[in-house]
Amino acid sequence: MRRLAPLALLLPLAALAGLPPRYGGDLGVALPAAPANLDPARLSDPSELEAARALHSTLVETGPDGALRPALLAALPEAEPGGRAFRLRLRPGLRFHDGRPLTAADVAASLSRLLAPGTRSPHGWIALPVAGADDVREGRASSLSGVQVVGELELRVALDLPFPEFPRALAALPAAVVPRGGPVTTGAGPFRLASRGEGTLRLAAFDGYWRGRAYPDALSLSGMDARRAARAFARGEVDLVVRPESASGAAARELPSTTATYAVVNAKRLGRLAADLRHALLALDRSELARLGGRGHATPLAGLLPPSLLSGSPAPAPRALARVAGNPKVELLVAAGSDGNRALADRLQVKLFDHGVRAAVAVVAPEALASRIASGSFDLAVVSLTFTSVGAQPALLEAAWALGGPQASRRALSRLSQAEPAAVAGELAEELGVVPLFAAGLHASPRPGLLGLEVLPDATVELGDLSVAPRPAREGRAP
Amino acid sequence: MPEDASESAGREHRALAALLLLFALAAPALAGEIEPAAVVRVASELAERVAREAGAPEPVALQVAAPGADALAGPLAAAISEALSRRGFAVALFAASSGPGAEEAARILGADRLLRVVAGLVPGRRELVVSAESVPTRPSFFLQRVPEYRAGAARLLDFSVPADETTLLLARAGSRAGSTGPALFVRPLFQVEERVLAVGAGADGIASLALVSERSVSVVSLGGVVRARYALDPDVRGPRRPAATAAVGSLGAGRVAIGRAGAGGLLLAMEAGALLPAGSFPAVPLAAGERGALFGAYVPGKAVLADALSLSPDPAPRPRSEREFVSFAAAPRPGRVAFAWVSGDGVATLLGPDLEPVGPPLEGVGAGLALADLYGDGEPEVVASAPDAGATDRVRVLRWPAGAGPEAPPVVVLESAALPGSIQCGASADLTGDGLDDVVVAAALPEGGSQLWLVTSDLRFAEAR
Repeated sequence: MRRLAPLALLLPLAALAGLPPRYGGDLGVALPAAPANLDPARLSDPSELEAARALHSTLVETGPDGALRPALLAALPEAEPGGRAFRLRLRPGLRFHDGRPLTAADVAASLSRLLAPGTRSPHGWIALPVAGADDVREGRASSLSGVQVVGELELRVALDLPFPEFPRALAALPAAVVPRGGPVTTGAGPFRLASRGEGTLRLAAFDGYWRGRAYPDALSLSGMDARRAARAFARGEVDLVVRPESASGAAARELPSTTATYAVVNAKRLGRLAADLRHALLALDRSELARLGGRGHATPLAGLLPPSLLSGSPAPAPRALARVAGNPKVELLVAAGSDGNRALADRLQVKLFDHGVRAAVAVVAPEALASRIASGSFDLAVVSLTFTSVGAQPALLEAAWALGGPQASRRALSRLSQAEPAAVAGELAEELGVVPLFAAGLHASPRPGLLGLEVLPDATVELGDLSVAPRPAREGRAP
Repeated sequence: MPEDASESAGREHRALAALLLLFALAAPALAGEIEPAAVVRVASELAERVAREAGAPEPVALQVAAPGADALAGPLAAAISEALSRRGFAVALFAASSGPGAEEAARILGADRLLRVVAGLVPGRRELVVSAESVPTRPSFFLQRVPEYRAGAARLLDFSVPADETTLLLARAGSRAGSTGPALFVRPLFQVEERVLAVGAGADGIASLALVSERSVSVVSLGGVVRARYALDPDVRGPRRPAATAAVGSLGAGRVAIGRAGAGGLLLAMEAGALLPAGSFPAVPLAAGERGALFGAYVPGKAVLADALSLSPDPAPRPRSEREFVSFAAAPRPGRVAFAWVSGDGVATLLGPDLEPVGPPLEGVGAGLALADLYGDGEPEVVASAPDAGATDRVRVLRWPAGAGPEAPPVVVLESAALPGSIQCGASADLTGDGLDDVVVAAALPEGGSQLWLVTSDLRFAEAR
């Protein structure tokens, strides 16, 4: 028998799974960059994806186990016979952060704006299967003819082609519902935007969140480079670091490798040279390129999609490469702001020179790069794509849209009704002149005592589930 | 020689027992409609049977023992003596050892009959059972020179009556107070497929548990047999982690009150084997013990309760303080400690019957909390899970030393082995019917569902199953 003091009674309080998560606290999260774009329809990198996860809600979502589950919808979408239409029914009582009710009309408008030219969304692939998508995309209509608002909480979505995986596409964060007429920073997610400062977003828990209020009272999302993040983590100024490298001293979790890097060869412009160039790139040692250009945990990429989205064959071994005849010159485009991709482009320049190709590296703005790829005015480009979708079929539409534009995405959609995703991925890579290089992912490093870290398949963290463990007992402290 | 503490305590309890008996004996006289205490009914029945057997009044030596419920022996002997005396018997209370020697001693005492009575409570049935041996002690002409031979055939008188609260209290009084009490056992009961959020316990004739999950309320026997089930409305906008309360007891027979975060309170009643809604209220039921029902309120949007304790289901409960808690427990029979709650950081606050804090808080307590008088000394013990549970958890029983109040440091009198899962809730009642409280806790299992465990001092559960 032991006699104990009334305080400090039992154990050191390390991880309190024996108690429910605690509400309260102001958590700091370090991200690779400050989230610049809070419009879910325009998000493009992991930092923006994480911010969207905090601010916005989708109709359905992919759980940690990979299973689709209803989110804003009361139940998973019901396919009508033939699979070319879905019935969507919202949960009752949903509200946006500003108190406005979230209705079927908001859902319809959010789908349409993914394709509207004014939105300049790189995620039109989500609404592309919906009837009337091209009319909206080309500015002939302002709303999708295939979306019919049946009632305040119910709508029917008709597709051009049978696409059973359409509900999975709706789980991608760019498909989040925003209020008609904006602002797009107002969502229905677990946190609302409190303020936006230099490199930092301040978010506050949204009491009306449909899944229940988040555990933390507030969040600060800050863009930090590796050094600053490490310093802030060591000082206890941030509670969670989500960056390519893991924070020192933390039990880091690997997030799924959903950022893929490709070399894209423009066959239309380069003619016969394109095949030689693609052959040369395919012969490179992708493991070496992954080490060089991929930050975080990077793996050589064998196919168009990362293994987390479509498990495929192992990365091909490097092959001997003959010199390309004629010492051709090409322009190698790379987006500004990505140090990893710039280093990768420099390395490719050297490798190609060794094989008789003279590549001039040109650094352009990300929007300019996307525009030149879409218009076909490039020779060779290094492109990184952060997938927002989960599931092979939606991911193929996403990749085709990003690497070949809307028409490529539509062709992929058409092929998916006839062939397996792996076959479509191979055909698509060939058609688009894409050479997959590697896929990389981030690490999530929580500070000790941070509980509830749950990683979702789209490589985001459910920030509303985070909570702080109680501090160890102190003698004489009142409860 | 200094007086032994247990002897002193024993005398006190015998005095208490005598007072209780007087009350029990006087009660029927004061109000004719009141059912006599079980000891009185047993005494009356036994005297009647002895009188029938003897044919005529005679001197009787009476020997009464109540193993395991020592304080019953004195009142029972007094009651039997009084009942026999009313029928003309001359009774001598007799404390000789058992065996043929006792019969010889009774004969020497002048008694023609030795009445040897053993009484006790039947575990699980709340019954007082009496087994009496009626032995003639008159010498036989032929056998008087062989004392080990009985003068006549002994007769066994064996019967039971329902044990009322007075008798149960008598059985508890003094038998274990002042000592560490009997051993406690933690035994598995059964598993359920759904994760149990709250458990209520009651012994309203038949021991039952009310299990509240996210989707249903079930009334389940101690053996795991579902007696009734009620499906809950799934469209409740609750917190991100569901939370619920359950109260069973003073609400009436077959009634269960539950509360869900985001949905208020619901009263369910057993009718013809079904669990049906019998009412709803805006407040959340926390307890339904001897002192009536107690209500509270969830903090809007959160899975935590506000300090808005109230004796009525107040539609707009006002918090008494800013304190919040994740788990609440009520003692079936309140002592100085009547209620307790655990805050989100694992600090348990003990509350008196007046709902005011008693003694210093206890730190390092998990959400699985119950208050139960496991030893029958009138003061509930704290049964708590571990705050750091993960794949496994532990049950600990904290007890205050005899004579010490909740201001004193408690003692860990039981720490279980590692139990699978994480204990989320607990409840207490006399579930085995031995007159002492028992505790049921529900541990959420990593693979889903919950395992129910019983914490008891009932010897029937001594054998690990």
